[in-house]
Amino acid sequence: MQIEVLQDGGANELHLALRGELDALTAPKLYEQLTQLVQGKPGISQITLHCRELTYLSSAGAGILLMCMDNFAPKGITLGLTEVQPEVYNILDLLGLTKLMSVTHA
Amino acid sequence: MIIGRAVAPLLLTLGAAFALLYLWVRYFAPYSYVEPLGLAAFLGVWAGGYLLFGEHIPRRWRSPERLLRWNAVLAGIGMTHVILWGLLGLAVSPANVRLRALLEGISEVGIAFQSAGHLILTGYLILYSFRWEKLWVLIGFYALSAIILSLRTILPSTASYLTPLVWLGILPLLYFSQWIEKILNQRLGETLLLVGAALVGTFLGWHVLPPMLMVGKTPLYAVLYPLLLAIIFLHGGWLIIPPMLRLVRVSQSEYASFELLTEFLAKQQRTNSAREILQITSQTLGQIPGVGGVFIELRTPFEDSVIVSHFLPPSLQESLRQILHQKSATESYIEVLPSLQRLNPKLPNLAGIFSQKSLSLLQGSALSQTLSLAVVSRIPDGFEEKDINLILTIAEQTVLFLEHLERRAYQEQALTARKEADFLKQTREALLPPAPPSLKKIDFYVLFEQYDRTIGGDYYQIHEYDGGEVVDFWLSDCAGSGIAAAYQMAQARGALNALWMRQLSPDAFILELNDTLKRIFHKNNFLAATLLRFDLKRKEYVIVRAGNPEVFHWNPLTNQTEILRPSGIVLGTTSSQIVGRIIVPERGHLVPGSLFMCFSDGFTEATSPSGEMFGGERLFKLFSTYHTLTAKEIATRIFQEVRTFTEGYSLGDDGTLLVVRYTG
Repeated sequence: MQIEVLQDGGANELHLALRGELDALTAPKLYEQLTQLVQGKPGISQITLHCRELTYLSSAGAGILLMCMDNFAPKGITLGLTEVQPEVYNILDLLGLTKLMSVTHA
Repeated sequence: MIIGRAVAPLLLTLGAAFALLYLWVRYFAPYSYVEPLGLAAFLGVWAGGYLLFGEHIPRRWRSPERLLRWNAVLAGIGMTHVILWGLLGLAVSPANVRLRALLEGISEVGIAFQSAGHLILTGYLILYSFRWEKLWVLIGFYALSAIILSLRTILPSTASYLTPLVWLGILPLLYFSQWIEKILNQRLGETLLLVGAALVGTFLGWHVLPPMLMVGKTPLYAVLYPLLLAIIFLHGGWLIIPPMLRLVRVSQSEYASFELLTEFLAKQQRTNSAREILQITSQTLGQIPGVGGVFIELRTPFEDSVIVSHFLPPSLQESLRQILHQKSATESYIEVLPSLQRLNPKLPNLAGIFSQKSLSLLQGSALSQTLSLAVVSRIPDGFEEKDINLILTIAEQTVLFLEHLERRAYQEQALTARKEADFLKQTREALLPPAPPSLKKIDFYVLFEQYDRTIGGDYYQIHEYDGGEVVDFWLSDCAGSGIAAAYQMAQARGALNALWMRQLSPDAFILELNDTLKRIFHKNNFLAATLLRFDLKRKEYVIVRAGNPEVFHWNPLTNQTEILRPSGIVLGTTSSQIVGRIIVPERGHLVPGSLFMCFSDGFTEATSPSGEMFGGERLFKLFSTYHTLTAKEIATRIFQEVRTFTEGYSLGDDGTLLVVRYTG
């Protein structure tokens, strides 16, 4: 999976594009990078993951999203997913994550 | 050497001419003093012979130790020569003056030649690996000899006690001679024997034999002849006895080498790391008498190099490392050099043995370790053949021990993997749900297909209480895999069975479970579950969906199949307040013939070889098609269809199908 930091975010926002598959192998990489970015940009309040090119989400990937959400919430950071493909959206919806975080269709 | 070889025939010719001239003069002018002519003949032949054939003598035969042995051989030949020709001379009638003079002359020239040979070799030993102390000892020895001989001529009565003093003066010379130094370091008894033999030889040469042989006809001859004889016998003691001792020592040395090797092998048996192996190798090599320093490096693809060295200055260590690194790391390399200066003139003039070998690794056939070893001698050209063999044997054994260590680590790894597999198997067996109860008015079947036959995340259980009036069908899927998932599944199972004891409502049951799992699960782990409860007394069903796929239902009242997808969320990640707001149980009337099918995502996500997923729609169609069959038939038919879709390949994840019909 590729993670690209997008430059179109505001001062308090962080935008990342995810490409490929978010599974047990790649999920720790996402967590590590998100944690580093949050530490390197104090005052951030919104992280948006652009998932147009995210083709697969495994349970481990969903677990990492939940962990990020749980870790960032006390710091006042909201995690959201946008442009999510139907297959990935179905998985998020099945797991009930669409009710915990902002998830929008592609 | 080219010039030397050109001169060689001339020297040989001159030597032969002098010999013939000497014999001719000696025969026709008996007892005339022409020994210098005879000596010149011998020297000519020897010098010519050396120049012609000297370079063919292997360098190791010219080591100090070998030279001393040659010296001993020379002494042996000289003694035989003196005795043989002396006896022949005595056997000839005194009347035959010419023949007798000739035989005695041959004997005397032999003595002179032998003495000259000894002096040359002794000088060479002094100059080889030169030390000023050696030269001063030599000069001092000859100066003392000259003084004593002068005194003897002037005061003949002093000879008896002055002569031994001359030869005692040679003791420091003995001390600085390389090989003698070793003997002195080793055994006092042998040293005393050596000195005693030299003194006896001196006494015989100086006092006993000259009168017996009736020599001393001219004043110069009277001085020189006893001196020459004394030198012969000194060498007889000095040089014959050491080789005899040497014969004893060779067997002792071989035994010492054997002992060293045995001890080395015994120590290596107990090693547990590459560094330990290298340290033992280095220490063992350091115990070989000729070894002055050791450098060993093990280069490995996974970690930093392991370097061990013994008695080497850092600059020399680095030079040796660079020399070894210039060689291909994947090819075996052995080189024995009489001097390191052949590689680099700035290096010390010490002999070196280099060995490099690549070790194959079991863990990756394309990867290898490289053992590089350099051993430096204590003195120039200081390795004997047995030392070289011993060093190379130890190097080879070190490679074997390193390979054995790697093999052992690999086997331990395999053993750990096997233990883990056994653990997983045992855990799986322990996690198997209890045997389902025999239920009244309910036909059900569970099809559980494990992905890798070890441990999966799926778990199901059927639990009844209230006298069988309430039955819970539980199906869950724990995120993750392996031991961690198994461990969390075991915890979830414990929590489940504890909660069942409390006979909670479905909502309370799920929220309590969520609370428990949130406490015990890691942050990125969660449990997806479906709870289907039949309340036979109330004729009601309740479905709670917590992140698991939807439930299929065939409703006999409408004669239709439907998808029940109540709102829900996975358990163990968020607070029960949030979970309680999201989860909405679905309730309905339980009528005879009601059919439910719960499943885990292993079935919907089963993939064909072309990469297409089986999906929920296909599953729902099959459920609709087969709804009239028994629970077992429905489950097995659907499973067959899924296997056909995957063309026999496994599902890719655990798959569980739970089919339940209320028969009324």
